[in-house]
Amino acid sequence: MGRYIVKRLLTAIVAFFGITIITYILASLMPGTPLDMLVQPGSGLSAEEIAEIEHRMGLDQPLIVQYFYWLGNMLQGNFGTSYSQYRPVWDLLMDRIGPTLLLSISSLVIALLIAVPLGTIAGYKAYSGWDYGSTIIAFIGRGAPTFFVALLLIYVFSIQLGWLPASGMYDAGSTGSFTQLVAHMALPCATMVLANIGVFTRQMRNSAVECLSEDYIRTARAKGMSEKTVLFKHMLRNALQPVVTSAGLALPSLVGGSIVIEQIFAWPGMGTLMLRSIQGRDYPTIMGITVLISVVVLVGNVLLDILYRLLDPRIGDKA
Amino acid sequence: MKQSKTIVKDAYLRDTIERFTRHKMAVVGLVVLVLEIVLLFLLPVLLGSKPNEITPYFSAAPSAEFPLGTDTTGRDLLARLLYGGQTSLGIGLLAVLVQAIIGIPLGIIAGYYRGTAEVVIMRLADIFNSIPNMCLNLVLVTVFSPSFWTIVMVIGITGWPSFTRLLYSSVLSIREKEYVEAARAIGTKNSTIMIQYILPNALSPALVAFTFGVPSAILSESALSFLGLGIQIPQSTWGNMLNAAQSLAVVATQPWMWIPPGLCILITLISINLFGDGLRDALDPKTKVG
Repeated sequence: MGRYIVKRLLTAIVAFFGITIITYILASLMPGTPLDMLVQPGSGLSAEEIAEIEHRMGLDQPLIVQYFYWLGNMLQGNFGTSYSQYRPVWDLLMDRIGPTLLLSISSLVIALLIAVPLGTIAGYKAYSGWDYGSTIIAFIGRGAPTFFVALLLIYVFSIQLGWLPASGMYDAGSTGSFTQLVAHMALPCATMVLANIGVFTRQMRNSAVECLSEDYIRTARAKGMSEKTVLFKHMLRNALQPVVTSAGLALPSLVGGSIVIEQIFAWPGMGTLMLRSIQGRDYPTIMGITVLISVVVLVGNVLLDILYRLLDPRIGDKA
Repeated sequence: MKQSKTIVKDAYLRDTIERFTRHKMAVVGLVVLVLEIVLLFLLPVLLGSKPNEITPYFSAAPSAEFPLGTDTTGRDLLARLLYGGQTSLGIGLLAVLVQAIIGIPLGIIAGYYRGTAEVVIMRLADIFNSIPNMCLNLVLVTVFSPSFWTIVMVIGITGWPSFTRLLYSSVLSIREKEYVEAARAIGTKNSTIMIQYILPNALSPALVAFTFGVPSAILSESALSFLGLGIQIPQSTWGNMLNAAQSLAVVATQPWMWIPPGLCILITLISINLFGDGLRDALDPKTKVG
């Protein structure tokens, strides 16, 4: 296990460098240079003064030197200064990552808490009304664009019924309480849960069907164990593994999808910051968000891979 | 010899079609899809729709003249829905084609040569996979200003790893088959083996990946356009029609502006997914139809 973790961490580090290289290349392709942002036309600076600024910022160095300069700074927590908000990007990211993680992780957990029992029942009673019902839910969940679901939820629950707020994290102008947070989180969270629940339920159902036909289940039943023990002790642990895998695969789209959802619900997370930075061509912030979001996904995948190993010790050290 | 080959091919095709038609929901998906495409291309001609014509009726509710109402600048929403559907479907198909053109060769090369090629290509796929597609799409549209073809390329560039992974894993088993070994033994060139022996046998998974790629490409395009960073007005897509609903007032009082394009995306994605499920089961005789 220890050896596996070390190996998995090494591949994650390689991936991290890959991510930074891709981000850097893309940022350097973006129209306009950082200099254009700092030196406005008509600033009255002489050519020498501009060259001096360029030199101080390292912009006269070759691209590869600039990359290592940026990487080195970033590893020390210095992501540069936001062009549009004149604050360190790191501070902006730290303000925003909490709300994004809160929304994504609670949605993932809630989706799994609903999908696992639902899928297990559907698999246990395969080809019953339950099964077909969950299939239909799964199909709609897979086909529904999150932003459309979000708009429908706002239309029904905020506008028609007036039950839940449609934007922000707390009521405007208030210090914010836990109840307010839950109320504000309900709709964005429901959107994300609906987007993911279908795939998880389907996966759980299929793997439950498969597990129930295994020999060890027949053996357990033949030994006269109660159906409850068979289901919860023998089947569930094995049937959960593919669901863990698909939760890992869903992670990038979950975090990516949260960008759109945050925008609709004016959730003060990384997604809204990303879109605002894109509109303001705030490159240091765009780069910082891309790297940080990717690192969150990377760490999430490493943790899920390790969890997968813990669930099934039979897998060798081959991967 | 040639005749026997066609007989085998016909039999395979017939079996595949038979397995597909046993999947009732998949047939429903296909019928809805065909009907939708026919309507999207036929109706604008029959109705003489003008999607960009600005009429004096701003934000008009559905009426006999404008069955789906008009938008905030007075354009006919039915016309925009029909032309928007053509654009959305077109981008979906072309973007997945780009993904396939990048992803399939890389997957075959990684699976066939293994070694360094495998490590480099599969690591690159991992890296692309850990940057959320939406995030990469947003950065790319900032670099290349959005238009029909740049959106196609952007979604194509971000989505290739799914093809590569799938092709890679099926090539790993194909390369161990006797016919590949035989071809190698008689000194066939690697490129010939890959194109003539491996590619045809990896086509089924590629076709399935293609089918499932289209809905996610349509989803990416509509998300970008919804955010105002995709296809730009006056050209319409289902996504940028939904952009009007960024304002809560529109969501609340003018549902005709955002419900029809949303429903169109929903119906399209569900039918393609249903069709894809049927296709996957039909192409793989090992899975049971259920």
